[in-house]
Amino acid sequence: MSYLQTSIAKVTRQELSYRTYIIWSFLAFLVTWIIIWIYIILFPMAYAGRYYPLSLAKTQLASECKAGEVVVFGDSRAVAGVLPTVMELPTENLAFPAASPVETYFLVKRILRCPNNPHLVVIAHSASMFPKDEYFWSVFASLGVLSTAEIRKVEADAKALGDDELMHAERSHSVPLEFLPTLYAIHFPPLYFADLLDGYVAARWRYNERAMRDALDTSGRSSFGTAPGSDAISGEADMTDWRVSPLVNLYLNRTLSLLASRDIPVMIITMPVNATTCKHLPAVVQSRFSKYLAEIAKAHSNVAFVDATIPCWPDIYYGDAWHFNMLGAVAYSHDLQHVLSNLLQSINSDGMFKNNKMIMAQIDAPLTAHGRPEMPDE
Amino acid sequence: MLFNSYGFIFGFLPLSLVGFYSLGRLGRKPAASWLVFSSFVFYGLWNPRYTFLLALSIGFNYLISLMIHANRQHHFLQRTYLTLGIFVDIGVLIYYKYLVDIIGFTYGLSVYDSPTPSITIPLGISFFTFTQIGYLVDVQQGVVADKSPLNYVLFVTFFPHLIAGPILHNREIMPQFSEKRTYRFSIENLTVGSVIFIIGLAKKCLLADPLSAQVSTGFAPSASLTLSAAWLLMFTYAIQIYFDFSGYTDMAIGIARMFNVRFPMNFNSPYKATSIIDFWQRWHMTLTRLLTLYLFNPLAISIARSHAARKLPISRSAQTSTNAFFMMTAFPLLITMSVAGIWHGAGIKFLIFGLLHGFYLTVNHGWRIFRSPRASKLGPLHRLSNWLLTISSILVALVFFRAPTMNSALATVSAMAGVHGLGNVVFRNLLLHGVSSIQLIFTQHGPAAATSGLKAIENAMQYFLTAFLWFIVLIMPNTQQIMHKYEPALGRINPCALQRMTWKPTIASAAALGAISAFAIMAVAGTTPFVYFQF
Repeated sequence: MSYLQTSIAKVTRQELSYRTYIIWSFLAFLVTWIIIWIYIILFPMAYAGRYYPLSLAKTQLASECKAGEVVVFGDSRAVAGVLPTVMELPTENLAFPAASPVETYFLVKRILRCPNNPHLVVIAHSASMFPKDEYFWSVFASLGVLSTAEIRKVEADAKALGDDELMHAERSHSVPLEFLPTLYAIHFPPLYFADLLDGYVAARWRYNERAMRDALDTSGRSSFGTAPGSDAISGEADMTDWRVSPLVNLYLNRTLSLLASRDIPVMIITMPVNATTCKHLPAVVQSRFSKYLAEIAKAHSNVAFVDATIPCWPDIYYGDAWHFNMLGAVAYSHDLQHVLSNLLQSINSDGMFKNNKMIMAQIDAPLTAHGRPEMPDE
Repeated sequence: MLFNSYGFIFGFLPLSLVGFYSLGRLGRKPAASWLVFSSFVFYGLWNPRYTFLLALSIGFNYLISLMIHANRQHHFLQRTYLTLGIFVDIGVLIYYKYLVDIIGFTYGLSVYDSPTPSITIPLGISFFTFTQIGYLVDVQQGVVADKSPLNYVLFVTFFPHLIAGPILHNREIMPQFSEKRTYRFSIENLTVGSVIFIIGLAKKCLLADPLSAQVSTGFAPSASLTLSAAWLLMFTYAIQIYFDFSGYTDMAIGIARMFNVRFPMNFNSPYKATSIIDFWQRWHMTLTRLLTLYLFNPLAISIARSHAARKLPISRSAQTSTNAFFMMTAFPLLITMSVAGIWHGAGIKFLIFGLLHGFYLTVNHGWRIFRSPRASKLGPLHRLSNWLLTISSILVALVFFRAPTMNSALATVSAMAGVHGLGNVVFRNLLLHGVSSIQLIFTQHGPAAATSGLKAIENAMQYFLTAFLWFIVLIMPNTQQIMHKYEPALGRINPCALQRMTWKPTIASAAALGAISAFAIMAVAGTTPFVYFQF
């Protein structure tokens, strides 16, 4: 044994020629690269951020084709705010963190492949998700939520519209844009290395598994901030103006038309923001966003929309600047339940609303603490 | 173009190396011309418009240098040309780097009532301007022998130093470009250069970049820091900027070495310094050298001459009088360090940064001159207290260097003084977070555990990372020490005490280099530009 150790020590310390040294270094580089690549492909649960287990949970929920009467799509506010387990209507929360209407289109398409289509689709995107599809690359391409073909389709649509927002979306600027879809498809290690470092190689495994289990147990609901109230200000307050990007507008209209072609009514809701954000929310954002949604509802006969303006809920219902905590989720889901029940009663057999107009309803926060549902285990 | 980009590592660098050594077979001129061409391409890939500015600046300064050469017998004319050269160089620098801030300042005072214009600062303008001013001064003083235009252009534009230094001195670089062996392929230099480059890349992408988010959050307008949080933030920022800038310098030194050129040292474990004087002899050493050579020394000499003319004593012992100390040491130091501060950027923040260091250096020099001779030998406790005083002074000055606004800087300094409460962030995070995260894993159930438990671990890891990086900086040898057997840089390099850490071309070090380079190259995808690019 000691002879072997001595021999190994001798070999490893022996000086090499520079040429041999370069060859050995290159081999070591290759071996390391391949090992990391294999690890990245095989064990994303160990290192990937929290969106990964949620994407797995949502994909599983969608593929099980157990969509109930109502399916909710939207962004992280909807993920945290809609708790199907406290709703009497069979509801599934397929909202996806950071999703804009672009990604929602593809998620809706997947649900429509199921034999049983939902009776009602709820679409709930924050006002900040309309000006650009910020997380197209860093979340949806990176996690494989969108296939390479879907990514290419969005790129082609953006090009046809003359919309360069994908170029400016959050992504690695060291890799040329044209290679990104292919490199994401093969899980090119540099694109996942930051996650590997942030996740301390395997520190996220336990938490990701728990997050996935929780999302599956609650039909898609997941926590973000867990504080017992938050007066932090969310991103909408920083917006100086509001506009919808051509690409996002195209895909929202496409989604609504697709659902109309299947006679599925749609309810567009605006998720509430906390009271502190409300105080700082520029009036122009409120008015332009509401006007846009009203125009959308007008253009599509299968669309109703709830909340003419961005609703404001007390800070106590928020776990962080953006998201409901469990108290907020329960309260909001109870209110949403009532609105949904009423809406479902007003739907014709062809999926159109009986009065054929947009239905205005308001999901208000409970006024006093007495009316709040019991606080579940957060 | 960034050194830490795939385009540079896999495209530009190999191409320019292949071109250089292929043309080197044909002779010195084709290879040197290729290097000049590559350097202009390197600069132009950032913003092609400014390659003209670079070319114009080089052409103008070279012309002035010829005029100074040609008038060797006419000192007045020489001085006139030198003054003209410096005046134009500084004028261009002011236009691009400081004018917007000056206009903004006067706009604030209602002197000027038009909106502030927007001017893009040409990359590396401070570096190539100061390099050329140094050259003109040396020509005027007769210390430059090489008048070759090709060597001059190469000296200014050689891409490894063009954007963020090290700031080169013509005497150490131009002779290297004249040597024929510089243009011959050397596998030793290629290997040694690659190793230094990879160390620099790893410092930047693996050690500095992961800290940038934490630092940005700390300096965000909404951040309200307690005493411990503010100190922790500054310890983190200090380590980030060190690994970022010294990583860049290592990459520059490594690339130059691949082309058979040796650059001067720019960092020598600055955070091991036990005094401010020591610190400036270890931090951005080429800037210290430039300012000492071309500003501090001329100022100090001219003051000494004026003292001598007035029959006042100028010896070292004469400086023990308060008046002489102020005039001959404190005044030139404060002026030099103010310029060092403003060199980094316009604005009162950078001036305060420079003045603070000027003040520290004055106190340090005063201490050396006025202290009791008994205190000359230092025990370990004394050295530790010196180190703590030095580091805390550096951290306070760094606040003005990094903070986005003056208000933010003042808020951070107030927090460091305990104005916003002591806080227990350090202890809570360093000690309790580890425990509480374990506790959370076992006690919390439901959705909250998935977020708060992980967050606790992530917070704790950030603090451990900062502590670990300080350990590396204070205990481990620096790049030059690791490579000292192969003369990695110009200047005296102290060999490291840890002999095992000295690089040799063995299988073990090849394996380590291969693995580190794989990690570093993967990390390039998420990297950020160098902190010093803005200067």
